[in-house]
Amino acid sequence: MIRKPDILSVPKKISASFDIYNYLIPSGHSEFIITGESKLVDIIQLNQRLLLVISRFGISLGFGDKSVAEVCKANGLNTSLVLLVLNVFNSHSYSVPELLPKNYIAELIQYLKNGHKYFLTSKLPYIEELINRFIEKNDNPNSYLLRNFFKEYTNEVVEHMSLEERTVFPYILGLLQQSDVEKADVRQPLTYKIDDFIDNHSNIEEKLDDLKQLLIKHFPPTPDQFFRNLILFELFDLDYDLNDHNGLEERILTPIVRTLEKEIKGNG
Amino acid sequence: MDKLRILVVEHSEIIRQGIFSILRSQSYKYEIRFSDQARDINDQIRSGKLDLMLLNPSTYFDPKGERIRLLRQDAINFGFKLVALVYAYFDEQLLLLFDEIIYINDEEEKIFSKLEKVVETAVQLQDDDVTVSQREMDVIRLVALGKSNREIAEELFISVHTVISHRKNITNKLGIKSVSGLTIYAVINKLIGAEDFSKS
Repeated sequence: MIRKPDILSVPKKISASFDIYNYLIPSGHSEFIITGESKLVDIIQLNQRLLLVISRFGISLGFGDKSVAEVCKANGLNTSLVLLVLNVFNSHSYSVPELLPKNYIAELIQYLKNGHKYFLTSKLPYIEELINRFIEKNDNPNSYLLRNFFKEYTNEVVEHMSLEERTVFPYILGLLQQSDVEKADVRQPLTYKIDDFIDNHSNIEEKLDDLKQLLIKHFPPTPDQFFRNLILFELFDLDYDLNDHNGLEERILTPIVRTLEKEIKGNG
Repeated sequence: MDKLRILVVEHSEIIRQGIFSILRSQSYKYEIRFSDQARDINDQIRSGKLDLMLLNPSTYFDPKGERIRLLRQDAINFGFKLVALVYAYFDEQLLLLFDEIIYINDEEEKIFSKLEKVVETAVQLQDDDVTVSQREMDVIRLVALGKSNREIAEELFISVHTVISHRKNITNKLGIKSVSGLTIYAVINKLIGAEDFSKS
């Protein structure tokens, strides 16, 4: 059951910054927590961003009135993992348990791969298309610079994500296999650590921020603002989504892998 | 300097008392108020008599961080500093919106030094001018032409250190960090021609 806090029903729109002070939680009031019995449709009504989460788990829309647990069962998913990810994405202050089971790993990696696929084959090409439309609509000789810049940015994202798929994910899956080996002497010594892989995502974020600034502040006024706005909406959305995506790697996947490394080292 | 006016937004009475007793030891420096009433907080912000807000970010129902972003905007508009008081996990990206973070297990000395650091930057920021100076324009042009800091220093007869400090200021003023971003800025503002750009 979702306990829907009455706060949610107060101001529908955040128009003036005054409204934000009405969002103060009265003492002892908690945010809504998603449980196995929560109806998936209710959750999506409350937080549309979770649409992205369920599609990355491979859950198709059209699930009727099914609860999270029922949908997970129908799709062969680990309900507790799905709940964890839904809650983390729903509320950034949701506290992740310290010890997470290693049987989350395979599904998490699949989830992250699906995320990569979404960014690389849907989201980024879509934004590029919007930029092309923007260029067509606005006869500014410099607008192609924005497209080039976005391409540079895209290349960095592609590079980063394919690096993860080529090296980090196989490393983690290898660890998982090793941890299943009973005899310690069969195990390979650890050559890497997950912390060696954690590179900061800040370089990529840098370009995304720059592009937003260029479109908002610096690029001269254009006759058509529709596509310019649309691009900006998409860039903010992308930024938010990438942060969540990276957060999942840093807050959930990495801690499990660290535990796994310790386990293998300790026994090996 | 006048007393630093701090507004503490925190629900827990225990934590409030704790903050009060720590800051009281230097009461000549700090004027401290507590509130968790929406209207009261809003009034204090708008009064312009606030130097610093010490906020427990989980005080807000704010799954997407929108409220904190708006608060950040208020902090800029009304010229106060936003400091987080953190004692449970909180999203790191959102914590970046704060000028400083005080953790529940920070020692007294550390809390004071963090508060002082924030106030110092407050003073510095007020002196900041957002228009790009002629010298900075020169630097942008050379960066856009693909020159290294050392080359820029030689060309402008300044030290590499000065170039770096110009570049820091440029980034702060324009909100652009990457070299390719600065290049676009340079082309848009005709600091370099598009031909220069395609050559480099």
